[in-house]
Amino acid sequence: MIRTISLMLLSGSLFAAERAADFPAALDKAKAGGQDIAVLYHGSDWCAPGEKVAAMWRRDDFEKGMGKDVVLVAIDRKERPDEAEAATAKRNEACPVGVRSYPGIALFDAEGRLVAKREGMSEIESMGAPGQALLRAVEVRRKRDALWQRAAKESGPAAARLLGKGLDMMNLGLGPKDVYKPVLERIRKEDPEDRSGYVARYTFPGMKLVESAMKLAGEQKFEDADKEIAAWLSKRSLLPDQRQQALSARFALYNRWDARKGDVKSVLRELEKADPESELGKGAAEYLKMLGS
Amino acid sequence: MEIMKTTWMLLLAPSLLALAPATARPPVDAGSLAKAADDPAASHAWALAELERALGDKEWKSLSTGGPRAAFFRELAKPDGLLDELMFSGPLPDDPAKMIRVAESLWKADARSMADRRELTTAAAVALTFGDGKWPEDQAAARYEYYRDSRKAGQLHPMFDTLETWEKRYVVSVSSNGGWAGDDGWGERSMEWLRDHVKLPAADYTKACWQAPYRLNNVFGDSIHGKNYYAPFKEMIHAERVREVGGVCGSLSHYGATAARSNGIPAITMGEPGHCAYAVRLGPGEWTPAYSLSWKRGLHTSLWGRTWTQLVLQDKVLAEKYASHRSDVHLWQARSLRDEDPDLAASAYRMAVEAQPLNQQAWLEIARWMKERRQPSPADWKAFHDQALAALADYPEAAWEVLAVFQPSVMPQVPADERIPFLLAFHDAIAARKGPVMWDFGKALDEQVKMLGGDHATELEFFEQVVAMQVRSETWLAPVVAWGRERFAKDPAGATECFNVLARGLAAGGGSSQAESLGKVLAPVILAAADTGNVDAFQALSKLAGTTPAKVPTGEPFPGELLSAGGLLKISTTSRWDDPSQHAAVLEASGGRFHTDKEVKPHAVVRLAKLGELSGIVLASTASGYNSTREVPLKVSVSEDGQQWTEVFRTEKPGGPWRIPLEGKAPRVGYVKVERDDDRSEVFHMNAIQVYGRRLQ
Repeated sequence: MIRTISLMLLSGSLFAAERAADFPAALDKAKAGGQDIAVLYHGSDWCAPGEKVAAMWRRDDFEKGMGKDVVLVAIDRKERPDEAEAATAKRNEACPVGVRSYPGIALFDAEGRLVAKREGMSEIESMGAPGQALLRAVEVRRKRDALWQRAAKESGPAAARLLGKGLDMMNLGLGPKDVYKPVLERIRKEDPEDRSGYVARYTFPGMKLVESAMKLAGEQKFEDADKEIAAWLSKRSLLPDQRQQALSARFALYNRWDARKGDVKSVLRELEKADPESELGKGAAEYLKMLGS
Repeated sequence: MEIMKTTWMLLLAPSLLALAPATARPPVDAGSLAKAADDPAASHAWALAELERALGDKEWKSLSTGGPRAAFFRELAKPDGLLDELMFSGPLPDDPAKMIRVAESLWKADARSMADRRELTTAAAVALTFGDGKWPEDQAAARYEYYRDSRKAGQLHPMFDTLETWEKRYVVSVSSNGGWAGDDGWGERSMEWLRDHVKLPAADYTKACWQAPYRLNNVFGDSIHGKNYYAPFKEMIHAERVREVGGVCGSLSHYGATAARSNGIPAITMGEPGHCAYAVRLGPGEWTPAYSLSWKRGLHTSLWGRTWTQLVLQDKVLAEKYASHRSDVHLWQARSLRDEDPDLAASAYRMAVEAQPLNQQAWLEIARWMKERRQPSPADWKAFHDQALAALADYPEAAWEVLAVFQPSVMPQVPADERIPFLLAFHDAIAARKGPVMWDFGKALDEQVKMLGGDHATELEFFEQVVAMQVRSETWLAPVVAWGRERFAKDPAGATECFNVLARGLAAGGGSSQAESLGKVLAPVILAAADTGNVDAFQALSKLAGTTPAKVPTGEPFPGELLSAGGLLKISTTSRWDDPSQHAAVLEASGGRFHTDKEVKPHAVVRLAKLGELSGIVLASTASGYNSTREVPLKVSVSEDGQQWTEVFRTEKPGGPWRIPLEGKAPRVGYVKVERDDDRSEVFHMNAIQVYGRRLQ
């Protein structure tokens, strides 16, 4: 009881969350009421770990704890659904995001855009109680919207910066199926010269830069590839992992370019230094060992 | 049963000689053979006897003559326990002594848990798996404990608790290409990670491979074919690094299959030409191929051999527990009697295939034994041949494997004028059956024709008669004709000869008349190849017919390879204006043509030669004027599996060429569907469907 009350206080809410029968119904409610949508992905007839979360999800105190600003929907992916359950499952295909491992939880905003997702029991458990994790996601969404509301009152790079910070808060890139691409377009419009740096951050090509470097190297266009990589590395707004990927593209290029082959170790050292604890940082350190450094 | 009343059965007539019991073997005579299979105590005794035979004297004595192993042997010998699980769960591994040692060490470490049948069957499956020569004995306990602990913690799919020992052999054998992989690969660390990070409904494991990105080069630019692809990420668990770093077909298929197995669901990986795929067993008999691009599969894990037919067949046989157990007991009787009383052994063998006529392994064993030890007359072989064929005709590949054991050695004794009829009996038996899957029919025909002694005219006569016989088959005619083309039409003179023979064969079988052109003769065969998804036959037959380039303007190709080239085109209907011999060229740079009949929503489905990430599609037609209006409204959809489609293009504008850029919009495509999407009943035609992109295999 004490826990329930504290949860309610935490959420700042005196009313319980609404429940919806399926994702389209949840989206309708959310659009009408401006609420967020909290989704549980589970499989009641096959996924035992998910049933622990589902049992909690069904409880009244969870509903109250989540508060009136959230619509709850449980997507039950049964292996042997009856006719009605199969029809519900069909409707739930409208949910734009699935999970790579069950159970999963996710928060969508009132427009049905993903805000946060946790897949599999280990990820869920690493975030503490699922309700707490979802409420933190609601808080992220609120802060994001507050930034975007401020952006609406600004213009130019200042507006772009606020829009970009809102994207940063979710750490989803442009989201599944580029759902946040319109935000990027607004950033571009407000800041065509990218003085905020957010266009670069949200258009960074990732692995495609490595592929491009290798393709150009194959065509003996080493300088062109190096220029492309250097252009990205000159952008200060890149995130550490993006900088590392650009450096790995440079490594791939220099490894194929006799004139710069002598520089591969220094590229790897720079890559490691960018974030030694990341997988790429550790990979660079290991590569240096393999090269005898 | 009819099978009993024929000549070879007389040859295998039982001896009345009663045998004295020796070691574990129960007393046996003609009367007791049949009873033993129905008596649980006698069946159990025969299981023990077979174990003794398989172990050999030294190992048997070490196990059964007291000393430190006595307690285990007493436990093993109990009915309805470990012995039955080991012996009635498919063939023993190649080192039965190691299997027993593994079982013994598991029991000594965890006898209490193994009192629960769910743990007992897991332990038996682990012992059967690690009893194979290359599997490390000292790693078996870790595998057993993984499944025991995961099951007890409720972390496995509930299907696992429903599995018998033989089914669990497809779960616990998590491996790399069928061999044990340590913790640097698909070992326990990867299994735990996959259990905790890839938990899905069973059916979804067929798509789980795509959680890992298909990448020929890693982020450092190193190729998957070199040693540095995963090396820099050596601290990562292998499954995790495949998901993060990427891989190609081999890594991705192992990721999908191991994810299923780590969650308690049977799965296997398998080799295909230039490719690696996998399959997941969604339920009894429901082996479902995943990331599979061809029927030419060599299984990395199997109880019965390496073919898909054998996988499907053993699943059916072992699931019929009563029949399967009885068949096993009779096989063990036969093996124990082969040396001392071959006639009685023959009786036991007969009972083994009577108990379970689909037990291909029994048929194979009998055929080999008869060939090596009994040397029957051609007439007796013919009788055996007919019975094996009758039993296995629904599984043509399995039937052929049995016949291939003895036919080559018997054939020289068969009168010359009876040889072709002897070979044709196989075709007669299977012509009306589809079989569970396409198989290497051409290889069987090669083996058959080799038995005819190398005379070209005789070979052509054989080809003609096979065509005449298979003309009624929707499945086998296409590969027969494709085989004939490969064998006989190597030069223009041969092609003419082949065509004449083919035409005569088709006419004799009730097909088209000899006077028709090659294209017309082949038309129904090409359509049949397309209907059955037989890409090889479709392509070979189209080459036999020859093509006339359509010379249709298509503009610049999209980036990447022409993924449609060498694929298969299936149209919704054919018509009198259609020429199926030109269908294959529709998918090539040259262009070809197809023409449906009048119908509502006519369509053509392309099965790409290579699964790919598309860059674009070009459609083109030579139609003009009114004819061009038959092609619109035009709708184009793509699919990975040919079942679930996603629309990627629609236009009302006739004329073409239609260029459809798809960069980033079609990440995994195996099929493209082109259709007219309205309610008119009208024909539909086109000359080019060219699909470009990056291959994912």
